[in-house]
Amino acid sequence: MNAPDKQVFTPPGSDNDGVEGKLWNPYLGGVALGLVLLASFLVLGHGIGASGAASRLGVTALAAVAPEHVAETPYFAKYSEGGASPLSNWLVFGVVGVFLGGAVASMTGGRQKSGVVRGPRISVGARLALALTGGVIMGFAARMARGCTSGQALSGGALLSVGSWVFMLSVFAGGYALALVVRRQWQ
Amino acid sequence: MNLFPVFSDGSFPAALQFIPAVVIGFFFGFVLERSGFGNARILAAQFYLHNMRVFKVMFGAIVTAAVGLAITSATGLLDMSALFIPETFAWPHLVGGLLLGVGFIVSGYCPGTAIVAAASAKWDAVVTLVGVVIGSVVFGEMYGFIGEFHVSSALGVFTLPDWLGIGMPLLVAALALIAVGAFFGAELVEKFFAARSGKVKEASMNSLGKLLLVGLSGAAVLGAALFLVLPAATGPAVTPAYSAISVIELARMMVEEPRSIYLVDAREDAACQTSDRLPAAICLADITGDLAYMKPRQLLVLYGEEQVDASRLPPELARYTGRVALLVEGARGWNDLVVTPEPAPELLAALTLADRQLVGALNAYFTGAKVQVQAAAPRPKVKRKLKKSGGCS
Repeated sequence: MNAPDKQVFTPPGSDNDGVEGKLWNPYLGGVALGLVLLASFLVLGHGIGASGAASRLGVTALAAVAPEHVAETPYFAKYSEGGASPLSNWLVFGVVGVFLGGAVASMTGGRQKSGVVRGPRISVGARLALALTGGVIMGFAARMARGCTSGQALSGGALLSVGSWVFMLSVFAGGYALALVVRRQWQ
Repeated sequence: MNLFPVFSDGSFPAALQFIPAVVIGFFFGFVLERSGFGNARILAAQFYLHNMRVFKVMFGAIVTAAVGLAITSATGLLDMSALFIPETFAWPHLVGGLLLGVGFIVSGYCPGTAIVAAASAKWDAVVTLVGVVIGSVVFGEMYGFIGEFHVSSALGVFTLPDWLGIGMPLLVAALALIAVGAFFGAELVEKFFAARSGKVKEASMNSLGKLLLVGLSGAAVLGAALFLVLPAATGPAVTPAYSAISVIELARMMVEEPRSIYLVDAREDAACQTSDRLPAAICLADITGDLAYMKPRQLLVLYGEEQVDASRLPPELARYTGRVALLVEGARGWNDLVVTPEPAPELLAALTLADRQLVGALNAYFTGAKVQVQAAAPRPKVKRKLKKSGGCS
């Protein structure tokens, strides 16, 4: 057990996992998050999504480079049915709100600091490479499951959809299955 | 009657949803960040078991929202059928979930939390988001190969109450109790693994945490008790007022606006499954779990062998938010008037000429007999081609 040389967010001897500032009690956080989700159902008639906006952003970027290819690919073409921009959708606006809310919370919570979050035993380059790899896998997986942890697990889970619960349990299973392999990244 | 959802389909221009979407997204992002979900190490810690914030916050949120949905729909404030409920595709959900879990532990974020972390200038989160965008495009490019799998094992809108045959209030109450038990379990697991990996266990079971858990379990017990006690305590005194519908009125609705009714067979389940039902009728036992989700704009018509005894109908029927009518003459009345080739003259004598024509047309339609009164309903033509024999049969 050597002393860690570079720990980005871990002031010596303080909080677990390099968290600065005070976090909410997780049970309070859960109830608050549930109330936000309930408000979304009651007002908008649907839950909250995150990966849908990423997909729409990808299609928009692709259309800027290769418009004919997008028009010819049925899976992409459905995003701009009726000539509308793929970005003209509540999912995209919701994500803008998530970004703003995250920014305000981290600024007021003393956690707005530029950096790369990683464990003590991994380089910045390796960490970023893993982040990109994991992102690509998640982007693919979220399209396969028609939603991610927000739109499928949380929103669909609260609506008691069987598919959403299958998805949620599988997410945990997939994470635990690979956790020991990538342990160096975090511990 | 139903106040919620405010923006149900078509009542407002879609663009008007964008403003509340930003506001709700804002609070979503704010709460996620305050809960620690903007930090990849906390998120990853879930999978090394020394900090189970992800589990606590997620399960807490799901149960809170589900309790809220159950209460608002039971009190009639919310029209549950107007909500968007994700359809179930069993295998794609399973495979997609496993892959997303792998991506989660490799990147340290899920797509939503990566947005929150990117908002606090974490470059690994920005890179993760770039990856998510790329991955979605890759999926679209590969759709030719995986499209078939993507739409396989489609079960439609399929909920846990449907699957388990338990009403939503009881199921949600059970879920809340399971959550409280699981939270205490999570505290023990954290304690064990934090000690093993030399970390300080986070003190989340402080007085606030305990208060919230007591509140949650109290709500669950109350919900379950209300659900179990209420129908018995109030009994037949508050048997909902069902309207009555006659065979001829039903027949007219089936011809003129077949999509405005649900025709439901209320006989004992065994009898319903084995005997002849009225055209397009479904068995009551098959839809008990769906009642809360069914479109309340339709008239739900119940029939038994003869008139239905309203006091013997299952209490779950109250979860259907639309109107319910009982078929006065029952299945026997329908058979006597519509299906039999020659209805008894005294039955016909009570009808107007227009109704008699209707009965004649329906009779021809359902029995295949010749139309006995004028005004024929077209009979579907069935052409049968004789198959050439050959090969295996």
